[in-house]
Amino acid sequence: MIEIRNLTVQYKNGVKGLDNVNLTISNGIYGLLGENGAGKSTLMNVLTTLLTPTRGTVIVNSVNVIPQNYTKVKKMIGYLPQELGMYPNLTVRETLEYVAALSGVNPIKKKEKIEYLLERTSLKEHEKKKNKQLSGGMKRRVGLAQALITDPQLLIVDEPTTGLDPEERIRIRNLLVDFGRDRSVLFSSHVVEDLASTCNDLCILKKGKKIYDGTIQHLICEADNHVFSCMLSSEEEFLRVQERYKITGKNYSNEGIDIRLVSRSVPDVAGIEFQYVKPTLEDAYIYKSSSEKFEEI
Amino acid sequence: MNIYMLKKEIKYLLKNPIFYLGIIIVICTLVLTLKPYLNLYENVREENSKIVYGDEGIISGYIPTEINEQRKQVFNRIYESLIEDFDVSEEEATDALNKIKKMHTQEEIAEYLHENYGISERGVDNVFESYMEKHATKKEMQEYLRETFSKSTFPESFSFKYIDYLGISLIYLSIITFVLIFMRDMKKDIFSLLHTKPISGVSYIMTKLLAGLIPICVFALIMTGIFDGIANMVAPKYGSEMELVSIWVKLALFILPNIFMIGVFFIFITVIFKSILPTIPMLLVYATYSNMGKITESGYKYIPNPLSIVVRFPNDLGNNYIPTWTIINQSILIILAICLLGISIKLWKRRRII
Amino acid sequence: MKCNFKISLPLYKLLYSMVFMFVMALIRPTVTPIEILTVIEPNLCFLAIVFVADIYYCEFRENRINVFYLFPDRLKYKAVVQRFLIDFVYLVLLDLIFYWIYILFQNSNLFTKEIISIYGYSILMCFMTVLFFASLSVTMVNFFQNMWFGLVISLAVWFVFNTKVKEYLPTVLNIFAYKITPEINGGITPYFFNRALYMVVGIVMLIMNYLLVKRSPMRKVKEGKK
Repeated sequence: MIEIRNLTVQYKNGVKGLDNVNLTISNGIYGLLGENGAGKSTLMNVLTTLLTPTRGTVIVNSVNVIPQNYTKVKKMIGYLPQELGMYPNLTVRETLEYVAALSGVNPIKKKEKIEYLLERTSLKEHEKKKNKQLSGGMKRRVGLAQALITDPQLLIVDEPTTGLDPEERIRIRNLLVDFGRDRSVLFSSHVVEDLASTCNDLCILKKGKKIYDGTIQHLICEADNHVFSCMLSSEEEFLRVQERYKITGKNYSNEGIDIRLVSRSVPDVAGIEFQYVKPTLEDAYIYKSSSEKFEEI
Repeated sequence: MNIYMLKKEIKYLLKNPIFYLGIIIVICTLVLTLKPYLNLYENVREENSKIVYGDEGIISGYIPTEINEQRKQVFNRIYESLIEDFDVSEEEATDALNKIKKMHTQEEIAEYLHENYGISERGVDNVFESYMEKHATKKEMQEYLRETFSKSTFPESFSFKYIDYLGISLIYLSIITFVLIFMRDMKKDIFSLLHTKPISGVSYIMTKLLAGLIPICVFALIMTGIFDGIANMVAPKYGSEMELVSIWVKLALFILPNIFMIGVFFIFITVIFKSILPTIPMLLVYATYSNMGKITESGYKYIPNPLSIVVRFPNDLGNNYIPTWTIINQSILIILAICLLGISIKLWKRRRII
Repeated sequence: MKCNFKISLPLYKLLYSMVFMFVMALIRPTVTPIEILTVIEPNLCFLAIVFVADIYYCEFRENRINVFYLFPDRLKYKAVVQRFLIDFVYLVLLDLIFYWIYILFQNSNLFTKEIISIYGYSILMCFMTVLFFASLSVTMVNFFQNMWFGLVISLAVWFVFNTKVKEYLPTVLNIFAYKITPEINGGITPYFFNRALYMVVGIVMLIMNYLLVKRSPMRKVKEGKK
């Protein structure tokens, strides 16, 4: 269980990376969504003790994340950053053994743990390959395995599926779901589909502030009746619509241009008929994050 | 060559404080080593004080001993040594002395003493060397300098020493400059990314090379202008005429081709190892090779090595000259540098992944 | 240990270090065995500075530092020290081997008492001075969390001891100082006291690295520089 109260991180140049954020993350997979520069990485850096907050408290499993407790906190965390370069000349097995040794894992349990992780991440047949010989997806799985080697109570993964093929993405997602059963997993991603498939709860950050914290279902419900679609006949019509509304999808077909948009009320563009459609998580995110700036707002 | 990239590289270099650290190193080296030549009267001997002989050099106030005076001192020393060290009687020593006084060359004297008393030729040479120079008074120094600079002016003589030390110190600056130029591009992702861009190997390597060479050359030109001015201001003090051109000729002959070769060598090693770290020890090896002399019959002597990236002029002020073969060497150096450049360009094109 | 071997001694490092030592032996002729001391020691120290610089910095360079930082401080430090010792032992081994390459180039008789005793001196001297310079390099790089800053400072220190600037230092502070002893070893004997002093400084710096590896790599972000 992670409790974050009034968390603020202000940099020397005055920019606030996080501004009075309040969150509670319990067991399971908790999604973190936001545009670039929203504060997702800042939040993760605070949780992994890389950054000391300017104000506020963070409590991870009853341990206050303050400099005096950093050693204790680090033992509870597993972290898979967005970019992680593994040791190129070490094999997969050697990498996990090395990380286990560096993490202080009990030498007796180490072998068993590594075997388990190699099986779960389907890396058993690649265990003797050097890291530099692995594909992107395999490297990501090695990264995930090293994050789990200490059996952490909080697993933080930063965009673990970026750049992976669909099969690998599904594999990583399923792994996270399995590992999230009895621990907290903070899953930061831009790939909304991954969040939709794995998370129950979600937090949306924007410019350091929290703009949503709740279930995915509830977020989608909020966007209900605010997502529309229509068929346009020409590019000019599209431009007229685009000037006034937030387009979330565009598709060229034989009949014309099929678009999807979010709007607070039924769009009013001369000569175009709009229909309500069921919102997806992506629509809901766009609706939520843009709600202050909507046309006719 | 990509002008835009060149401007960016030079701008980036000039914004980096480490580049200025290299500049400071060069300036400090030049000032420390050349300052004594600008005030040769500082370490002269007081009038009427005891004459001391040695080979400390003109910056310590020593001038070449006149040949007659040198022979006189050497003969006295040999006489004393025959009696004290070789158990020769006074009569016999006097006899030997009279014989060697009639000999004209050092070799004859050494041969005679070796045959008759077993004194090694090296030993005799050492005795002559120890009286080769004497600590001069101000008046003696003035006379010596007037005579020396009547044959070649002070600015010209000074230019040899300037080019000598500039060449050595620019090696440090070149290493620093090219490290700064290449360090961003040798990161794994950037290296591969560059190979996906529509920039040819020739354009990339030439731009990088010029981005390093131009600031170093501009700096060398500025320093040369300053020291040329200073040397010409000091020249009248030594009774010498002013002379503005020779330092620039030497700069063009001995510095510019060498900096070019250093830059190309740096790029070559970087491309071979796909890392800039090994270039530092490799350049040290090359600099050591360039600076090495040889052990000859008369002891250790600086003899310029083929394809060296630094040309030394170790003789004292007024006694340096440009050996003919160094011009040939510099030409071959440029040709070799161009060949290495071509190889580096080819290697860079082929090695697309770190 | 095996993993630290692979991390701190990659093939390219082995290659360039051996090329460096071999070419140095080739181009730097020595007449007497005692001269070898004055040649091998400073060059090996120079190599050590470059060789050892990135044993911890490689974690930054290869984007592992955020994860490496999470490991217990004691074990992180242990890994850094192990990597240091592996590189250090390798450098001393280079001295052990290349001393004989110099002797071979001299065509000297290999097993005289003088050569053996100078060999002992060489190992002892290089042990002390290489420890200092290697430690200095690692400490400076780790302190600045920037390899080139650390290298420049370490190389500047090396240059101070190898150029005319050293003449301004008192003898006790000159790490490469020798005394003239015509009756021993063919002419010169190293000052072991100086070297021992610097060795102790090197060990202290190595211990200080415990505090340096504890530091957060986000130091620069905290100061507002992204």
